[in-house]
Amino acid sequence: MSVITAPRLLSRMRRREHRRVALVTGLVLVLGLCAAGLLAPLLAPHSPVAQYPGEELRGYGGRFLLGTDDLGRDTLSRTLYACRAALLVGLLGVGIGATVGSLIGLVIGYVGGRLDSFVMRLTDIGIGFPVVIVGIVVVAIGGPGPQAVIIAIALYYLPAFVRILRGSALQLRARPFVEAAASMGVKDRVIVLRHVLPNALPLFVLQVGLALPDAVLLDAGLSFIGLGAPPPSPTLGDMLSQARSYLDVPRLAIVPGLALCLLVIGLNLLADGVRDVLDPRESSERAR
Amino acid sequence: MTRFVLGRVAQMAVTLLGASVVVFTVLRLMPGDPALVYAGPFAGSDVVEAVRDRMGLHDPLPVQYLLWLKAFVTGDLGVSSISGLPVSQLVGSALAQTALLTLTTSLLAIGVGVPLGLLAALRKGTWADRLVAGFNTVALGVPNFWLGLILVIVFAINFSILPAGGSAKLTEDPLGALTSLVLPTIALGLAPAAMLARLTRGAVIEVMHEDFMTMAAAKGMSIGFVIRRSLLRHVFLNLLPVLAILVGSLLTGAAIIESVFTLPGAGRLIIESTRQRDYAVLQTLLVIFVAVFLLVTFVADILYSVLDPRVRGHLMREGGVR
Repeated sequence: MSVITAPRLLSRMRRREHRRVALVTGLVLVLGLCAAGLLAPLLAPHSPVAQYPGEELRGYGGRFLLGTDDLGRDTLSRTLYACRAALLVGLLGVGIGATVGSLIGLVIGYVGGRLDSFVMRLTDIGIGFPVVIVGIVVVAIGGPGPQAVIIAIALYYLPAFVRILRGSALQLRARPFVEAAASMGVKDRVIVLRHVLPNALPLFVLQVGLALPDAVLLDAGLSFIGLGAPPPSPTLGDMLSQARSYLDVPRLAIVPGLALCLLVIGLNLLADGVRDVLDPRESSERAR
Repeated sequence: MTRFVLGRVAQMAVTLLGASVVVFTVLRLMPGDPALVYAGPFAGSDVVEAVRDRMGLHDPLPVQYLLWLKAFVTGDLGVSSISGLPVSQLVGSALAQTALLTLTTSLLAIGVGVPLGLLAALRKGTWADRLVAGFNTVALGVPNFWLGLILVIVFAINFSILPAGGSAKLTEDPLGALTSLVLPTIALGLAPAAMLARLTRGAVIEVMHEDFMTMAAAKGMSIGFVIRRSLLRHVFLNLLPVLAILVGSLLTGAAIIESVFTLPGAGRLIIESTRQRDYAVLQTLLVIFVAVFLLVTFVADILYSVLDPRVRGHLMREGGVR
C-alpha cells in the first residue's frame, strides 16, 4: 500500500468525521421514529381509525395538525400508528427469516456433503422467486394481513441467509479451534452451537441491519398493492394506496411517504454506520 | 470452458424443474376452485363438474403436473380460464411491456449510476464525492412507488406535461408508448442508479490501487486513456454479477410500479391472475419469471468467466456468482 502522507491522513480523518455524522443522523432518525411508533398511543392526538364526519380532507393546522383523509381520519395519528406497524412487521419478518435461514446455513455449512448441495439447490429456487410473487402466493393461501407480509418477508430473506451463514460456517469449520474441538470428541451439535454460532454472530447482525430498511420498503410495497393489514388498520403502504384516488390532494401522499422515506433513510444510514464499525472494508455484500 | 458451460446449463435445468414443481404444488395449495370461478356463481353442480373434468382437475396431482409439464415443453400453454385468450398471447404481450420497462430502467440506472460512481471515485473526498453520496442515500431511501405517485402529482396533474400511465402499444403508437414510460422509468430506476453509483465508486477505488494502473501512469498514459482502456473493463467485471441481480429485482419492482402507472405488464398480470385463480396464466408467468432470473444469472456467470478465467473454478465449486 501507499505511504500515508499528512494530507491523506487528514482527509481520512475528515472522512471518518463525515461518516460519524451519517451514523448519528441515522441513529437519531431511527430512535426518533421508533419512539414515535412505540409511543403512538400516547402521542397520537386522535384515534387512528376514528372518522370525524364533516372534517374530511382538512388541510394542515388546526385541530388536525397534518390534516385528515377522505374519511375524516387524522393523518398524523394514522402515520404514527403506521410507523409502528412498519417497524414491527419489518423486524419480525427479517428476524424470523434470518434466524431460521442462518441456523439452516450453519448446519449445512458445517455438515457439508449431499445435504449441503441439496439445500443449496433449494436456495437457488428460492432466490429465483421475486418477493411480490412470494407475497401474493402467501396472501392467496392465508388471506391478506400483517402476518402474510411477515411470512412473505421471512420467506424472501430465508434463502439469502442460508447462503451467507453457510459460507461463514464453511470458513469456520476449517479454523483450528473447531478442528481442536472436533478432535477432542466434542459433539457436532455442541460445536455448532458453542463455537461456530458465536463466531458467525457479527456477520448475522450486520446482515440483519442491512436487510431491515429493505424489509420496511417491502412491507410498504406489499401493503401498497393490497396484501397487508386490511382497512381500517393504518399501514404506510395502504395510506399511500388510498392517496392514489386523491392525487389533487398531494398532502395525503406526502405525509406517510415522507415518514417512510425518513424511516428507510435512517435505517440505511444506521446499517452503513454499523457496517463501518464491524467491517471497515469499503464494500460488503448485502444479503439480497 | 465447454464443460463449465454445460455444467451450468444442467444445473440451471434442474433448478428450473424444481421451481416448476414448487410453483405447481403451491398453486394447488391455494384455496378457491378454478372450476367454480370459470363456471360462474350461477352454474349448477353438473356444469361445475363438467368444467372440472375438462380442466383435468380430477386427476391425481402428479399426473396433472406431468401433463402440464408435457404441454408446457411442447409449447402448448393453454387458454386463460377467465378471458379465454391463449396464454401465450396474454403472457407474451405483458412480458414485452415489462421487458421494455426493464430495459429503459436498466439504461437509466447504468447511464446515471456508472458516471456518478466514476465521478465520486475520481474526486474522492471532495464535495462532488459527498454530493453523490448524499444522492445515493436519498435515492435508496425513497420507495419507488411513492416516487411514482409524486411524479404523477407533479408532472401529470400539476403541469400535465407527461402522461400518468397508459397502455399505448409500441407498434401502434411508438411516441405515446415511450412517453408513458418516462415517469415509471425514473421512479423505478433511481434506486438502482444509486446502488450502481456506490458499487462503481467502490470498484474504481479498488482497481486504482492495482499494479497495472500504477504501471499505466508510470508509462505516461493520460488519465482519460487509462480509464477507457483498463479501468472501465475491470470495473465492469466487478459490476457484472450485480447487474444481473439488478435486472432480476427490476422485474419485481415492475410489478408494483406497473400498478401505479396502470401499465399492462407482467407484474399486473400476475396480480390479476392470482385474484382470479387463473392457473394457466399464473403458472406460466411464475415459471417464466424464475427462468428469466436464472438465465440472467447464468449469462452473468458465463460473461464473468470469459472476462476473468480465474473465477471459473471458483464458480464451479460454489455454483454461481451469488
